[in-house]
Amino acid sequence: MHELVIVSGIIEAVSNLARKENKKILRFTVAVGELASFDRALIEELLNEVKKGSILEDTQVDVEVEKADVLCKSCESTWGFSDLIEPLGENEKEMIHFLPELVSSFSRCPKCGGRDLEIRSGRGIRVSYVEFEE
Amino acid sequence: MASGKGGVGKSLVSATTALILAKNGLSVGLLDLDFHGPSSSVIYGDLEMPSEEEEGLIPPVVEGVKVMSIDQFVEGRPIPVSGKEKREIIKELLALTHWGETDVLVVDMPPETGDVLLASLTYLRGRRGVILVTTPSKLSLKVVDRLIRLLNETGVEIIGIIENMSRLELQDNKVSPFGVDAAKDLASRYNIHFLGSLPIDPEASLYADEGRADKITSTRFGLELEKCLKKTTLLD
Repeated sequence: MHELVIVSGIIEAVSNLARKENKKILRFTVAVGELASFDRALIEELLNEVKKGSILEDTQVDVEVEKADVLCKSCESTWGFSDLIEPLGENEKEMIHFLPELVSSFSRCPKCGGRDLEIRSGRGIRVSYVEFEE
Repeated sequence: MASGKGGVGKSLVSATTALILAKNGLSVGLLDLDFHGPSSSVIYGDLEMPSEEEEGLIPPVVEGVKVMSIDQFVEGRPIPVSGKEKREIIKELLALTHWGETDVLVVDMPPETGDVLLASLTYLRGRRGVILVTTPSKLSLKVVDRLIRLLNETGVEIIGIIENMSRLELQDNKVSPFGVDAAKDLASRYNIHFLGSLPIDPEASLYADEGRADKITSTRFGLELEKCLKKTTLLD
């Protein structure tokens, strides 16, 4: 399962951080990008499963969805990805769902009309917060 | 399929190569990575959107070739993407597409030696090789020369060079508008296999424009290209 590989990697990376800092980690947060093809609930379930028996067994893990933002490089304004594609038809939304970077083929910056758009967040999965024991 | 230079007929050579390999019994995919001018897929007529299955995106099959192109997603719209986005799209396309059992994946590269080429060299692994397409013109050969040096540094196998638009045959007269033998000389200079030269063939161009993938392999252009491919391990 694709998600299991990802989650195992996260647990390993956070465990390595705890060892490196030689501190107990009380809690950490995993941010799942809005555009990443991952099921938030499944990620959370697997994180709690995989950390059992590891040095993170008693660590609290939170999973949040990271909003996808798009930067217009022409006028430097930032837009929510979902707001940009909201006016599009279902068929177009489905195409963008597979390849979000094609957003500039379908949408323009609402402010300046530019198409030099770049997805700045919400694309992958990452550890966004770690709290160590003092 | 790469050339570095635009306008050398690379898309027609790529699309026809995939058809010839399929005609010879191989299981073939065609991936059009020419972001700003996806055209090899045009030769396959109006392509359906890939279907979404549990394994991933399943490319439509035309004349035995599984075809995947950016154009299937944007349906003729402009594709104003820059380098970083191109890399991401290539990664996603390769990860999402389920080619199934495939003997050969023909990749039509854009006319550049930048992001798409570099990303493809990074992400397309396994047994891989490049067929270079050029016209006999010095302008084209100069760019291909640069590409050869780049590929030699990366250690990617260069399967051979195909010279396209080498001659125009008018009744009994053969005209070589862009010169003769220069591509052969370039191949020999770098010790690369010269696979042959292809004519300017109005019939093949017409079928390409009309999206008649079923007709191209039997044109003069198609038959000459098949001879070129038979000199490679793809069809020997």
